[in-house]
Amino acid sequence: MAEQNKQVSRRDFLKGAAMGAAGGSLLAMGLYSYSPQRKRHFAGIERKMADIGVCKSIKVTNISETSWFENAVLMGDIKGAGGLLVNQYDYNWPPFGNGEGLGKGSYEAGMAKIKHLLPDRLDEAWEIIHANSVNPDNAGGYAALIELEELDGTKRKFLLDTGWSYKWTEECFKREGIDQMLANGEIEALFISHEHFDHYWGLPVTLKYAPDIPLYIPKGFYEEGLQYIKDCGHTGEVTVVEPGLNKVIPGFATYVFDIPIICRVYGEQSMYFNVKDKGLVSVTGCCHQGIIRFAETAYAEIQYENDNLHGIYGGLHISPFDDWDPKYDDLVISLKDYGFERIGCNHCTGIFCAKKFIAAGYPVVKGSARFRSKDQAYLGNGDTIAFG
Amino acid sequence: MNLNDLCKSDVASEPVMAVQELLRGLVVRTNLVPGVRHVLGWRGVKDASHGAEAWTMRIDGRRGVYGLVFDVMVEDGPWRRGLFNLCYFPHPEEELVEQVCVEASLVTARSGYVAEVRDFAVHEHLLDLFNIGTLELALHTGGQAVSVRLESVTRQQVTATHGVTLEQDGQALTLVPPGGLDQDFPAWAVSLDLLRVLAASLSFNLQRPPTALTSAEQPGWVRAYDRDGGMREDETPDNPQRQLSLVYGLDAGPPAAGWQLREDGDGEFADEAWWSAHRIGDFKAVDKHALGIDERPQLIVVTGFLGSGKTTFLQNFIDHMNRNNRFVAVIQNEVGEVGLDGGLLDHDYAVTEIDEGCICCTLVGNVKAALGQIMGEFHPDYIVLETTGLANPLNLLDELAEVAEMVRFDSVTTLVDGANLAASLTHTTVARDQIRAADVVLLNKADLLDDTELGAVQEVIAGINGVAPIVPTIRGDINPALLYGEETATPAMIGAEHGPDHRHDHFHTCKLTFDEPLPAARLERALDHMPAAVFRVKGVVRLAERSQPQVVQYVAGRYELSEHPNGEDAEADYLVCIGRDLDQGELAQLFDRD
Repeated sequence: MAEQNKQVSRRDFLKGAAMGAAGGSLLAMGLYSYSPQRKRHFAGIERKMADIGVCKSIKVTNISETSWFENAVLMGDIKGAGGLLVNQYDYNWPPFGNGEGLGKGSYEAGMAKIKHLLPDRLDEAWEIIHANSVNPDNAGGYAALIELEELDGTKRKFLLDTGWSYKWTEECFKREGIDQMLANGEIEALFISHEHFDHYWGLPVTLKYAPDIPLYIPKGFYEEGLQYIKDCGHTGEVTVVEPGLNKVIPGFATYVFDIPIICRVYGEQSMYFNVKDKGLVSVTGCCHQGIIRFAETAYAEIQYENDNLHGIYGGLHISPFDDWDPKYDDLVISLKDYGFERIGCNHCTGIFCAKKFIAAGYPVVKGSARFRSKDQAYLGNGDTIAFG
Repeated sequence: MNLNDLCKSDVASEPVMAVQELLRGLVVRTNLVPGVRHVLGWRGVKDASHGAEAWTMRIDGRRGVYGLVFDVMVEDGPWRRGLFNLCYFPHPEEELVEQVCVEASLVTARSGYVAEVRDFAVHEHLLDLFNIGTLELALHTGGQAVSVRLESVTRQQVTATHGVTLEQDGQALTLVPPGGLDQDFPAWAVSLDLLRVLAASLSFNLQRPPTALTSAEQPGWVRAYDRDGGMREDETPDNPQRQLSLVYGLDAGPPAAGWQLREDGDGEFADEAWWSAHRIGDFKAVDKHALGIDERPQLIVVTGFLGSGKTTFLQNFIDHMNRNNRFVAVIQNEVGEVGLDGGLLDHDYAVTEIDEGCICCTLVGNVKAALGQIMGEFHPDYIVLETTGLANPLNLLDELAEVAEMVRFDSVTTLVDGANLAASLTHTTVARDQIRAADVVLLNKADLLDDTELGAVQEVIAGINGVAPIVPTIRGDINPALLYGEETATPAMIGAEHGPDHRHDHFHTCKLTFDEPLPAARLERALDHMPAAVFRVKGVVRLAERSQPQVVQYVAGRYELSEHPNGEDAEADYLVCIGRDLDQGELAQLFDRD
């Protein structure tokens, strides 16, 4: 061995070493490693295991997932109005049209034209709205009916979101019999996932049939959104759900994620159901918080059957950000990590993406592509999916 | 001050939640808008939270990955300070690997390194080895005031008294000589780069610049250890700990106990972006171009023979773009493919929809006019020009020169049917031209070929186009971010190996290399005087005046320089020229003198 040891750069050394996954024997050689100057609290992953109770099954009926009909038109509107941070109430979209054109609207001006007609005279309101808004026929909406079966067999009904276009939402409600269920008091509450136009602005349609229905909104609504509740003629109780876990009835909890969303919206409320012998079922509006946060939160916060993520339904807008490593920015790979056993996706998931899930053999429950839903890869309008 | 869009928790009653919500709001809201996040310096984020708020991110000018994870909340009078552990995970090939401790550098070479980094907050050893400082976000209980503060030692220095020697193949290799530095990491400089991005983002979101800046220091430390595990720590003023605070909404208070104000605290940071980033705030009014936001859509040309899988590739592309809130316009340049009724047109294009995620148009008139109309009506972020059927893309490239001020020309992507290439090359000359024009070739249907066949096809392609990288794909499935950057060219686009001159039908590519950095004026003069026969030049060069290599993109008389995303580590000092009847000597001479 030479007296003068050869000095090499680390990267050259590492290229010659077979580091593999564990780093081989080198890391076992007791190289000095030192912690920084301050002792840190290392949390690792702590699971809170909150008990949200258990239910027997849930069934989701897709009232509408077609939030709008032409994506090109919608995105053209967003960009024309100034982009993704512009206040949604300023677009001059229905129902807040003041006739001034794209990007020149306001809640007050739009509402002034229709307030006197809400929530009972929606046809008349829509005529005014149609004449004053930008691209009114492009508006659809998102809404879903959840029927929960308790352990003793009792059935309970809840509504998630309330669409956008008054005309389209009424059509869908009538098609599925939601109007009658509301009028009969069968639906116990309306949960709003987030303040977005396509999930929330159809509120008068629900209130037309059940003006006093309990309303659960996530914390984060802006002034206009809160005012809308009153202006639409809501007479019931409003619960502003704080960020975190919110237990509703055994087997059903919602979780509010406090996070900024495009078009000047804040906060999303997602639903978690603990289905006996199956596991956790998640129902989302758009999953703006991202699938990582969504699934990690379930894992960290809630105790669920068999410690199993069983199912998911909704718009899986799974990764709103540019990942710094495109190799990992792959929806099909991410979803696999969570091991869902039953998947119903639509709305903002992306049809091509849904098809890739199917091609990859994921347990996607397909739909029937009726009532303006575009493809069977989506659990479409009028389709149902049951868990448990 | 617009704090309400970033954080809605009540600071006084829920400070722990509030400070974490503030980081989350800051990262998320800024990254919602592609143009904004890019100009502020973001290059991708990934949520790494498990209980405690944690994020990983990359920024412009740094090849590695930063990590921030919530540590603890501290009450300090009316302030509630959220302390976040700041880490830097070097790219395995970057220079900074030499400056972390040896144990850390070993970790960077492990095959599981990137996966662990993506989830760093649950790997305690990563926090130990790669911590470089503390980032603090604070909220004021009295009302609307926010501050961001960075604390870090100038250099993290640890001496190995007895050196570090490791064995490889029976040979003893000295990684650190006795008494040498095991760790010599420029913690302050690396931390400061991230603070710049966060502070500029804060200014943007709050729609105001900071009201106060405090730059302070106190003596730092150096350490030494010996082979028995004994460790010494010596305080030294020569390696100070530094602290930089930016307050929004209040005047600065005195520096914290133990810290002294630095001289020239203001001067050092006079030109930082955080003083002006708030001007991006009012999107409708502001001149984005002046602020460096390039709103021109990116133009990608996609070509490929029949059956190559272009449609599937485009569907994948559009789907990916939509999920990132980007809007795509696809333009086919062949009339007749779609069966148009000429009577309905008062535009230079006709719209037919391909899919839910984009608009599809067919050119019937002038390229430039059509683009202008499409952009005015739909404001796309990306324009894909799809050459259908038997169009020769080389002809199209000449036309694109006219539209350079409207769009940012990115590249030509050619899809090749790996299973049927030979047949298409035999029957037509267009297939060959499509490959020749490519900046990147997607060798599709790679699943139908075994390794030998794959290699053979790649050789055929390389024989036609020695410059373009060849990427095997299955059903056109590839993340577009790997092919198209937000800059005008990405590392993937500038091909690795460059072949010799090609002479086929007077169409050449030739490569110029440079031994030394070029003076900027000389480069620009050469590009201004490119002969007309040269319609494309692309490459990476170092300029005498700048440390960051510049990506050069030249198309038919117009060119752009931009900083290479890999920073100083980029492969540099070459230009590839594409054109007709090129004379290598003549081109090289253009760069020889000012």
